Order: sequence, then structure tokens, then C-alpha cells
Amino acid sequence: MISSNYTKENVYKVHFDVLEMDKRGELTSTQIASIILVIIGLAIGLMFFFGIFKNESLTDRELCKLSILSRATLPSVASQAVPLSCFTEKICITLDKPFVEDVKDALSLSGSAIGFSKKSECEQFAGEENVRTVKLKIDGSIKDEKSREIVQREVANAMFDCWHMAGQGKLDIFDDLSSKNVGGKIAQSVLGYAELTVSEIKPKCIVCSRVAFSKSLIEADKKFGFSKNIDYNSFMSREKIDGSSGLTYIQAFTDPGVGSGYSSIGGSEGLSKYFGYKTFTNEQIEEIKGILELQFKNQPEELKKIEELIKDKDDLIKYFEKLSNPDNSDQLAIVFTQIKVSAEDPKDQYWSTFQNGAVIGGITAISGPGKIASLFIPGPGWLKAVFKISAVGVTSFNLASSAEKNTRKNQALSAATCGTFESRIEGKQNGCSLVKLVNWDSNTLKNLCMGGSEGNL
Amino acid sequence: MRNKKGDVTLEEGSGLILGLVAMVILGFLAFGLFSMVIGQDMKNAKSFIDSLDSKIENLNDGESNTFILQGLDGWVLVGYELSNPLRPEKCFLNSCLCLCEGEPKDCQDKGYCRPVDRKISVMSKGHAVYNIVGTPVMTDKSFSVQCMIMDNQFSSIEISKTTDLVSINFDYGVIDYNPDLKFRICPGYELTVAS
Repeated sequence: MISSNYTKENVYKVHFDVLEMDKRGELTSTQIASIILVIIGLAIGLMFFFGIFKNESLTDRELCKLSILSRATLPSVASQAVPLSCFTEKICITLDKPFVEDVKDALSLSGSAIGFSKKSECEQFAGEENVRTVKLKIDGSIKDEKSREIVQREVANAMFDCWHMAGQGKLDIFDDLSSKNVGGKIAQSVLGYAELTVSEIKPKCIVCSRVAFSKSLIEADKKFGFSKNIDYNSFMSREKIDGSSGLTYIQAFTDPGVGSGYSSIGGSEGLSKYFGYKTFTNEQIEEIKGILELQFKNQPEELKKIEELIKDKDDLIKYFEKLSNPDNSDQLAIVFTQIKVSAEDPKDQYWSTFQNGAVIGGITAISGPGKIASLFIPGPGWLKAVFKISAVGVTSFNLASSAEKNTRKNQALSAATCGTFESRIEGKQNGCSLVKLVNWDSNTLKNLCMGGSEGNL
Repeated sequence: MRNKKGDVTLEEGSGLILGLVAMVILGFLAFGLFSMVIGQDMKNAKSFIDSLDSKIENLNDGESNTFILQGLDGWVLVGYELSNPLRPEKCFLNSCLCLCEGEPKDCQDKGYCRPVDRKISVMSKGHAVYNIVGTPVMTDKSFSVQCMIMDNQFSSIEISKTTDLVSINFDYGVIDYNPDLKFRICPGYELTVAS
């Protein structure tokens, strides 16, 4: 609109005035685009941080994966502050009883057990929520094979989900800093970086799933021998994963293409190609023995026991069957763990720690702290110097001995847990990521997860 | 850039608003992360005691079962009878099962308690072993104490329930013996050592 100040004579000024205003107030298209992008970015950020961890539309698995990703992308000292929002999946495998028996059972339970109670058909999950029930028909007929396949597929899928959720061995989820507080963690990191200390590794775990067998199923198994022919390893070596790139479960778990780690399905990783075999040639037996020797090179007593167990072909077949089906346990667990240890020779570790200790100790002795210490050491100057040199020497020796001992311990643990699938990470570290099917008992879990577990059981 | 009158230009104004929005978002984010990290131990403790409580509730009278639970480093499980003078006030007029951070005496402020409708007993036991120059020597020093101290390991806890008693038992297995054992196992509770 033309202002009343403008006359016909100076109307050209209107044009320039408007142009000038445009120059001062108008935003360029690039600026508008930038502002819109920033606003969208902030909105997405806001939605992510305040919505996603409470978003009920996300499944427990997605939530867990997100928290794992968040942790893996933060620096190691800060990463452990991010809790893992992982919830153990609970699967109750039970007998599919006729309707009348089901009703009878329901009526025989206490009042609270009916309806929306937390009472599961698997008493192992007593008082726990979100239990998924899988019902099987078992009658000793040929149809039992289908039920067997259901059990094996449930376990195989749970293992694959766990492997996938935990980043397929590509992510570093757990740190090796034992201190609980941030200050201690920083101190440990600094000392470790300077190679003055090597911490003893205590692997942590995520219990991805628990699979329990109900009393009624165990009773039916006693009658029909249903579980005898369950062979998880054989199943996973022949069956392909639904909707994946045509890989079998074992191929997916042991894919060297993942780079920083491997998965394993028990103490039998290197033997995976023989799962399901019912007969062996002499060459195959020799190869199996070679793999076992390599796998148990740090556990000679264990190796001796296994060699006793596989004296002839029949024994070998039984050994493979046992590997594939954990001992008669009423509950199994699918556990993810990671081990990352220094690949340096323990002797080299000793000398590098000794050297670093001597250098840092020497600098400390001749600088400020050393001068303060001199005030408390009686005697002439040369005596003070001898005292300081001895103190630096003894401290370096102790640090070096401890570093060597812990390096040996850690490497033995890594070899025992990772077996032949031990991988070399970034040239300087050994270790692996594992998904293991184990019996749900406290000793097995304590041995595997010395640092405890994260997430919610 | 300001115009001659000193007014804020549209560009400056939008930058200011965006800056404020970003600051508010960062503030919320920092608060969210802080509460997520700080509250984790307490959340785990609450989840532990709730899980144990549900398991007790789901047992029928006369039944017993063993459950594996993830322990919490530095927390103590204690059972308080109605007649126990040390019972935290938050138990009101009930026997109760409490999970306390640090020492049981601080349970009123640093702990979670759940009422139990009958008598309650929490008992842990173990076997102490002397270490002589790094070599373990078995002794007959078995001990027991009326509470359970936890670490961050999986703990196998046995629960049995009768019409008038809920009993929770835990076995530490073999542990190193040293003079401060009684301070390490349930501080403030009498440790009974078999002679």
C-alpha cells in the first residue's frame, strides 16, 4: 500500500522504500530452509529423548536395542552411566491339555491364580509378569516331531533375536572398568591408558531370554521321551532364519564378516559343522580332536576328560548330542556376553608396564611430589636418592607383576570362553561376543557372568 | 544487526527464539539423563523386592521353591518380626521384608519394605576358609546370620512358606575368612560361627 506521504511526483521513492525494507527484514530461502531444518531437528531430538524410552508402541527388544546403541556410541567412561533398558523375555513351554483338564487345573489353583494373576503354568516364573506360553501336543506319536521343532525354533529364534539385539558383536556394550564411581573409572582409564595397570576382566551379561518347561511337560517327557531327540545345534545348523538372507542360524552366529566379534552357541563353536552328524569318518574324528585340542589348550584337565569321553565313534555321537541339549534342566537361559582382552604377550606386558612405571615414577621423584617426599626422608642427599630409586623400582616391579598376572588370567578366560572363535580386534585385543544357551542355575551363570548381569530379569 | 532505531531484526529475533528453545531442550535433556542415571540403583532395588514379594505371594502354604535373582551390590535383605524393636516405622503394624542400602539400621530412609502377613525369617549361611599364603585351607567354620548381604551376582534364593512363617534362605558357599567377616556380612547383625 502507498503511504499518504507519497505524492505523484515522488512515487518512485515508494518502490525504493519497499525494496530497502525487503533487504532488512526478508529472510533468504537458504535461511528459511535452515531454520525449518533446525526446528525439525530439535523436534525430533525432543521426541527421541522424552518419548522413545517411554514409548509403549516400542517392543522391549527395540527399547533394549536403542539403549545398547546409545551406550555403544558414548565414550567408555560415560557409557556405563546409560542403563540398559533390556527386559528378559520369558517363555513357558507347557503341555497343551484338553479343555476340560485346563478348566480343572484353573479351579484347583488358589483364587488369585485365576484370571489376571501372575501365576504361570511354569512355576519357575511364579510372580513374574509378561510370560509367553507355548503349548505343545505330546502323545508319543510321530506328531511329536512337530512339537520338537516348535521348541527348537523357539530357542533358535530367541538366540538370534538376542544376537541381533546386542549388535551382532559389532558394538562394545560393557567396559572393563571395575570401579563403581565415575572418579574411580576415570582413574582406572588413565592408569590403563598409561599401561600402568591391567584390570582383571569380569565379563558382564545380558540375560535375553529364559525358557522354562512346565511340570506337566516334564511329566509327559518322562513318559514319552520327547526331549531325547531335541538337538538345538543340529537344528540351527540346518534351518534358515525366517526372513533373512538365506543364512542358517549357525552361519549368522559365526559370520566372520561382523568384524569385531563372533557369536557362539556353547563350548562347541569350532565343531558347528558337525552338528547333526550321525556318523563320522576317521579323518573327521581326527579333525574334531584337533579342534578340541585347540579349544581346550588352556584347560588340559578338561581336554583329558573329553578325550576319555570320545574314545570311539558311538561315544563321539553321544558327545555331540550332549553338547546340543543342555543337561536335564527345567529352565534354560539365553545369555549375551562380551570379552575383550589385551592380545599382548604377558612377558611384553610385564616389561612395558615396568618401563612406564619407571619413567613415570622417575619423573615424579625428581619433580614436585618427589621434593615434598624428600622432606620426610631422613639422611643425606645420596641416601634420599637411593630411597627414591628403590621405591620407584619396587613399585614398578609390583605393577608389572600384577599386569603380567592379570594379562595371563584374562587371556586364559578369553580362550576358555571364546574357544576357537577368539577374534583379534583392532590388532591389539582378543575376545569375542557370545550368545550362549545355558542351564538356568546360579553356578553356571556366575561362571559365565562374573561381573553380574545388566537389564531386568 | 540492528537498524537505526535499535530494533531487533527478524533474523536476530528468530535466532534468539531458536537459542532459547535449544536451551530449554538441553535443560530438559540434562535433567532426564541425570534422573535416569541416579535413580537406577533404587529402581533395581525396588524391582528386586517386588519380584521377591510376588514370588512369596504366589507360593501356596506348605510349598517351597528356589529362585535365581540378580543381586544388588551393597544392599542387605532383612526380615523384621512384628516384635522386633528395630523394625522400620514404614512397616507400620506388620512383619515385613526389607531391602536396605548399606546397613539395616538405615532402612527407614534408604530402603524398601514390603509387609508380610505372617512371621518372617531371613537366614544366610556360608563356610569360611582361611587363606594361608594364598593357599585356601578348609576349616569347619560354618557361619550363619539373620539377614542376607548381596553382591551384583546371581543369587539362588530358597523360599518356603507355611501357614505361619515365610522363610528365606541363602547360601554364600565358601568365602574367605578374615577377622572383619562379621562386619562384611550384614553389618550390625550377630554372626553365629560354629565352633
